[in-house]
Amino acid sequence: MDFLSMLIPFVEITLAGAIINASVHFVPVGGAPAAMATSTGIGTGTTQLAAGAGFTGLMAAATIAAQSGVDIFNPLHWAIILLSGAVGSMIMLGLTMLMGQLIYVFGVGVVPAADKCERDPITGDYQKPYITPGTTGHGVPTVCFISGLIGAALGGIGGALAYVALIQLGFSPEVAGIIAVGFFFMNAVLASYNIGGTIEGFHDPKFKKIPNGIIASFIASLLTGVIVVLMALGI
Amino acid sequence: MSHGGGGHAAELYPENQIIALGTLLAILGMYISQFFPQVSMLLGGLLASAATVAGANTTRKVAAYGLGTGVPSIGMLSLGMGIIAAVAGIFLVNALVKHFHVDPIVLYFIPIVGTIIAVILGYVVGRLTVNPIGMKIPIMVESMTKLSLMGALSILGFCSAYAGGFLPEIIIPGAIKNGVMALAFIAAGMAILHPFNACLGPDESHKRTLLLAVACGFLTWFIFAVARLEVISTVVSLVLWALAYREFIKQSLKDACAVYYTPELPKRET
Amino acid sequence: MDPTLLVLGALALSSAAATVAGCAEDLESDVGSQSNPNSQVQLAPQMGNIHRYFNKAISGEPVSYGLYVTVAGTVAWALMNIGMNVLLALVIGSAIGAFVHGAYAVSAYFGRIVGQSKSFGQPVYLDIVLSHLGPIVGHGFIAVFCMVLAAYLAVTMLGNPFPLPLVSLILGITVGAIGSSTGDVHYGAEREYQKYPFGGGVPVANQGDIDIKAEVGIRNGMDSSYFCSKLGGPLTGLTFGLIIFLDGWRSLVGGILGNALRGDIVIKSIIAIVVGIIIVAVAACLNRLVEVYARKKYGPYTDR
Repeated sequence: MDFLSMLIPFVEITLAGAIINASVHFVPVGGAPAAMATSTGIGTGTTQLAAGAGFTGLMAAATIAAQSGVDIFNPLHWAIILLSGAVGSMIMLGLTMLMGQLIYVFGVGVVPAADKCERDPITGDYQKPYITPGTTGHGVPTVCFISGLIGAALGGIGGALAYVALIQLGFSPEVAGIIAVGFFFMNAVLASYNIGGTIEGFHDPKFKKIPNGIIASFIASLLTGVIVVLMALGI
Repeated sequence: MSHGGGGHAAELYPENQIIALGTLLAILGMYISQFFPQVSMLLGGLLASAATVAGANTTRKVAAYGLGTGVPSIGMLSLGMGIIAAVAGIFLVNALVKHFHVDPIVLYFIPIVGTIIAVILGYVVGRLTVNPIGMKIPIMVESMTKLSLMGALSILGFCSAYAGGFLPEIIIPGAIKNGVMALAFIAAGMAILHPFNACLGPDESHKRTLLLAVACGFLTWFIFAVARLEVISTVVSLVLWALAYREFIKQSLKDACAVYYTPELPKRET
Repeated sequence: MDPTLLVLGALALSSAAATVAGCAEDLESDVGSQSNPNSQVQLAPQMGNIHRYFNKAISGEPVSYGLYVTVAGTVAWALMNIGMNVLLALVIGSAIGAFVHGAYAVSAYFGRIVGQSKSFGQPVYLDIVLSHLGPIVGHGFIAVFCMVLAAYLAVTMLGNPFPLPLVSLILGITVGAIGSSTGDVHYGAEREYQKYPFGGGVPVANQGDIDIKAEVGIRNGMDSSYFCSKLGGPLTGLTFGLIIFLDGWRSLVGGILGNALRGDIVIKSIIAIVVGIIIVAVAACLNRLVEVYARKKYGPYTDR
């Protein structure tokens, strides 16, 4: 294996870690409080939701990559694999947010409202009057939905990129899949520690902490990249 | 998830002793799996569960501080690092032999190399959670190191018990390519994060948590024994699990303020 | 037979299985009180509400379902390897998964209840453990069996390159993530707080003040699954079924249109991606419609 064919996957896996970390910051999760309609976002933990979306994307990417006639080193095919991952993740998270919204509106009877902004930056709707007193918002307003879609797309790209890098290094799909799962979890948990439980999306002040998370994941992925590239010599 | 007060109940045994014991037993288990493949599940599986018990004990110590994202996240992080370290241990040593033509005897150091990589990865990630991420838990770095180590050891331990050895030509087709490592990832992960996650609260006691950790370790062993379709290990692990589990339930019933068998609410004292 | 038809059939079957799995998963988590809404059950004794809920704190749903489905998938895979009938292998695998589920569920109840028993006077109810274990394990079995079936179809029919255990892990984590983010809201925000008027989130000050009285007698988890089967459970199932279906359907459409245009794999994939983006855009529009509907129907708070 020559130097260049090792350098490209190395760069890819390092970037993948940073992208996965960034993606988690976009996904609007309210953690436990959101399950009681006490805070805006989806009512589950950051890591798990990002992992659910990311793994759907990973499977979509792997299915495309496994089709006959796909050349992983062809830039066009490479882009298609990444985009398939992104779209798979977006479908998963988009439908989850939509159905969650239906339950908030028809099952709980609340109006979707964000707490961290006066007006929804996308639709321009006022948010504050619709928030139940004593809570910090509830539901998935449009700005959170769009932010979630961006996060899902990034997560899918990140997961697919890590997978593609491992395949390019010569790992079999099974080995690449299991390493990608572990790698995804590692970066997603780092991001969720950076967020500290809940985030509404890109309009949340907590979003400004994103550089810390990206730097942390970048360094961790750099180390993982070195390990993985050296491992590839032993296939 | 709320932590119901957390708190640091007295420890029955010091954490470092449990970690050292868990590390030694798990590594011993891998060598037994390698050299005596006929008893790999019986003894290797049993000893691999020592690593999950030690991991669960460390989880108890670090998660009592309150992570802000619940106990499960740290279990998944530890297993995420563990799985990278475990696979890396196998492939890196293989690289030495295949690419750099080192004497194949180094293949027998795979568990040690996996251990070292897990410690390095855990330390680096632990440092990253303190700076730049800014977790305010004083024992974060050492705990992450230990958890990464225990994650890697339990994955390697159960995988080599399943495959019947840790040499690359045995473990890669026998436990990685067929996906059994995914089971090792999640089953060992649950055995590490569940005991404290289940027992936390103001009246948490180290004894109950450890008993449950042992029961969960045996349950993980049982899962692998069933997946390998081995009758003897399945029966032995099930019996040992039942003993530990019974002990845990007994201790819980003893520690409870009251045990009811009927739908009645206790009278309010105030 | 036309291979496209076979794939379509497999896709339909796996989406149907996923729908049942999602619904059963959500109802199971309502009986046992798992995941995020369980934080309220955990908090209740501290607030003076001695309750008879099951406290099934087995990490989050994604991780726990990842475990059960992976156990089922691995055991089924091992049994198929020695030549056992596929359906029988899946059933036995799911049974082992259900056993593991039961073992974890009971330990979580004892652990969490005893962990706060002496401080807040919460007794252990053995009748709750015995009566709830059946529904928990039973619903769990249905969910796990359907997930393993979907995973098996994905590996054998839908061109997934991963081995069965790994696909089981990924699908298990996904079903848990969906169950805890859609259906659980109905349980956490509405069912646990039914004594408060409909419409409105739960203010922080009221947290932990859950309903301990049922329609008749003292409430337990089984009443909750009846309530949540009206909205939360079915919607969770629909979400997961739709995700599996639409994600597979878009590549199928890409394949069919690509063949009609005599395109290669690139054209087919691009069509599939475009179809996927259209689906996402439709979801975003529907979300906005629901939001506007709610704002008009419920209106702002005027009395603050």
